[in-house]
Amino acid sequence: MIPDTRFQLRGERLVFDNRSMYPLHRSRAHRLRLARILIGLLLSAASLSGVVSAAELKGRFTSDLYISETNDVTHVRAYERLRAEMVTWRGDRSGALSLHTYLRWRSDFANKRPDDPQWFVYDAYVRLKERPRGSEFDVGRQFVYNGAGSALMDGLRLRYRAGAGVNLDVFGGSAASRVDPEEVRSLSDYTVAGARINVTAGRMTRLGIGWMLRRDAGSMVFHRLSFDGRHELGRGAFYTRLGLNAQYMRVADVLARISYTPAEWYLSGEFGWREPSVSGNSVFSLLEFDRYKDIRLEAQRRVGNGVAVVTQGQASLYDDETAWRGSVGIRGSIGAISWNTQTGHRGKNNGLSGTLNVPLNRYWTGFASANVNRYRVQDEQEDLSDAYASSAGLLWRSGSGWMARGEVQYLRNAVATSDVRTLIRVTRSFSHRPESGQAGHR
Amino acid sequence: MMWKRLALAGCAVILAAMLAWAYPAAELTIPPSTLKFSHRLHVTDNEIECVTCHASVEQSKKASDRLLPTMDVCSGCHDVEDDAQCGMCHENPDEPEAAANPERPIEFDHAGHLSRGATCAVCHGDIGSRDRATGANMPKMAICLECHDGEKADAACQVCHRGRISLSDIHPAEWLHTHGDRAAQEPQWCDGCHKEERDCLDCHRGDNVTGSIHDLNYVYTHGLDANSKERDCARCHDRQAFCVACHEAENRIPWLHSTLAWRTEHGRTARRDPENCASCHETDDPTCARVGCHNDSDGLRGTDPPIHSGSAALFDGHGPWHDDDGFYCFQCHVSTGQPGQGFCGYCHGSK
Repeated sequence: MIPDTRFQLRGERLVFDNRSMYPLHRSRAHRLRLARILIGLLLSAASLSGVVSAAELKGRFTSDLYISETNDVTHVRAYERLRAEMVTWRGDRSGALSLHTYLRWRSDFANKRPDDPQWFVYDAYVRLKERPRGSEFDVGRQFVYNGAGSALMDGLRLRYRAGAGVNLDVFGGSAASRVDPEEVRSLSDYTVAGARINVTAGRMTRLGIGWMLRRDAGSMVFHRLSFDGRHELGRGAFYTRLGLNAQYMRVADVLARISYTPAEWYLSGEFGWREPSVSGNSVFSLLEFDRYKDIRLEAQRRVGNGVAVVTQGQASLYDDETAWRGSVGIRGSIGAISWNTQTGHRGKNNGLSGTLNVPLNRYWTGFASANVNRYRVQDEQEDLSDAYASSAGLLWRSGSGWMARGEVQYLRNAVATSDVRTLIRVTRSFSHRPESGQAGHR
Repeated sequence: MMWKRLALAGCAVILAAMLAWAYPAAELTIPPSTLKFSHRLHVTDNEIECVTCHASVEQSKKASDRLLPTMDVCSGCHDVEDDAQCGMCHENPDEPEAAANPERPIEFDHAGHLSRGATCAVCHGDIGSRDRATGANMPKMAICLECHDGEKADAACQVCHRGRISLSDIHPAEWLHTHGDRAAQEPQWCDGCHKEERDCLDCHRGDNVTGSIHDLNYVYTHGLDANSKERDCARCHDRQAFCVACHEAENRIPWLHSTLAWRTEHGRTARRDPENCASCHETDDPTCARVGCHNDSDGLRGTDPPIHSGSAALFDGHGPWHDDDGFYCFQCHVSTGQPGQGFCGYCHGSK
C-alpha cells in the first residue's frame, strides 16, 4: 500500500486532522533511525568508490508550485521531489552498487495544515547487482509489488535470475510509517513479507506464483497467495489468475482474460469473480458477504495513421443487481476523446472527456484537457450533480535536461462553484559520469 | 437476467472467433534457419571480421535489406562446387535452401549507425561466440533504448516504427486495467520505454496535481468507480489510512444512513459491499459494537443481532483471539478468560 501522508497519530489511533495543530508522535530515537540508515548506506556506497572503476550520479529534481483559489480560500502549495541514484561499478558493470532515493517535500504557504511542511521518503535503498551473478539485492525503503499485493516497506529484497527462465523475488521488512517518514517500525508488529516465482516456459508462456502478508499493529491484515499464467498463441494472448485468501484459506478472486489482435483490431474479454477486499483484522472480514462477478469487453480498431476507435463495456454482477459501465472514444497520436456512461447499481454517470497534446516544435508542446460529468453516487439520490474540469498549458523541453510546465486549471463541482488553479512545474534531469578510471571524480 | 446471458454469449463468440482465426502475429518472426553456420568458428576461432561476409551492411539503409552473405561470399573460402560438401552447411543437402529474410517492421539504417561509430557488437552483442544464431539473437528494443534515450539519440517511437505503431498498439485501451498484471509477470518489459519512471510510484505517488492519473474532480466522483468496482482501489490505497481519514474528516455520510430503513437495511448492504462500509468505518470503529446493536456485553449467546453465523469453519482451531487482546472479536465480545462464562464459554464448555 502507498501511504497517504495527511495524518496525525493521536495516541495509538491514526486520524486525519485539519483543525488545530497537535504535535506528531515522534521519539528522538525513532526519528534518527532512518536518517542513520541513510547515512550508513551513503557512506557504504561512497567508501566502495575507491575500489570501483567508475561511478555515475543521475536523477531528476522536480519543483511544483500549485496555486488555487477555491470558494475564496487561497492555497499556495509547493512540492519538491528528488529522485536520484548513484551507481558505481567495475569494468564491465558487474557488481554494480547503487544508491537510490526518492524524496518528496510539501507545504502550503497560504493556508498551512497542521502537518505542513511535510516530507516523505518513498525510496531510500542500496542495490547490489550481479553479486552473485544474476542477482539483485536491495536494502532500505522501497516499494514492492508482486501481483499478490503491494507495500512500501523498510527491509530487504532479493531478486535472482535462476536460469532456464526462472526468476525469484523475495522480500521482507516492516511497513513504512504513514505519519513519520523517518520512523522505521517494528518488524513483528508491521511485518511485510512476500515472494514471487516467475517461470518462462518456452517463448510464449509465463507462469507466476506470488505470496504476500502484511501486519498492522500486530494483527494480520492481509495474507494472499496468487497463481497467474499468460500464454501467447499467434495473435492471441490468454491470462489467468487465481487469488487465495491465505488467512481464511478460501478463494479470493479468479480472473480470466483473453485478447486478440487480428490486423487492425485489438479485442479483449475478461471474466472475474471475486470477494470484497477488507482488512484481515476488520470486523467486516467476519461478514458472510456476497461475491460478485465482473465481465469486461473491449474492442479497438485502428482507422488511420495512429488513430484508433475504442469501445469498452463492463458489468459487475451481484445476485440481484448489476452495475453497468461503457465508453466509446477515439484515440490518436495527439489526443483522445471519449464518452463514458454508468448506470444500474450504485451510481449513475454520463461524462465526456478529452485530451490534446500538440507538439508545436522541437521544444514546445501545447496541451489541454476537459472532463464533464453529470452523476450521482448514491441510487437513493434524486438529483444529479455536475462536475467540470478543464486545463490548458504549455510544456517546454530543452533537450539538455530542463523541462518546464505551465498550466491553468478550472474546476466546477458540487462544492466549488469556481475553482481556478495554476501549476508551474520545473524539472531538471542531471547525469554526472566521471571519465573512466577516475572513480567518483568528474 | 437476459443481459447476463447476452454478455456471456458475447464472450463465448469472441473466444470462439479468436481460437478459430488465430494466425501469425505481426511482430518480426525469424523462421528457423536450415543452414549450419557457426559464428563462433568463423568470428572467434578464425578471427574473421563481420564485414568479410556481411559486406553490404556498410551501404545498407533499410532494415529489410538482405545482409546475409550469398554463396559467392562463402566460395571465397569454401569449395561450393563440390556437391559432396553441401551437407557441411545445409541441413538438407538434397534440397538446399537459402536463409529466409523476412520483412522488418521497423526502420534501421546500418550505414548511418556505423558512420556514427557504432560497432556490430553494440547491438548484436556476443553473436560472434554463438554456434547457431537464431531469431532470439536479434537485438531487443532495450538495446536500442540504451542510446535512444532522448538525450544521446531521439527516443520517439516514430524514429524506428514510423507510422506502423502508435501508443494504442503498445498500451491498448484496457491498459490502465491490466498493466499491473503485466508488470508483475515481466517488470523488465516496462523498462524498455519507461526509463524516467523507475517504478510504480512515479504514477501512483498520490499527488494528482495534473489530473494525469485521476481527473481533477475525482475527489467528488471517485465513489462511482469504487461502487461499480471499476477499479480495485485497495491495490494502491490503504483503505484505513486513505479512505477513512478523508471521509471522517469531511463527515461524508451516505444519504441512506439518515433514513429509518437503515436499521433494517444496513445488513444486506454490508453483506453485498463491505468495502463501502470499510471506507468510513475503520478497523477499531465502535459503530457496529454499540450496545443495542451488535454488542455482546451480556455474554449470552443469541440475544443480540449477529454479524456472523456460528459457522464452525470460521472458528475452527486456536483462533488469534486467544493471543491478541486487540483482535476485532473484542469489539463486540467481552473476554472472560473463563470456560463456561460468556464469550469464552461459547466454545469452552462448563466451568
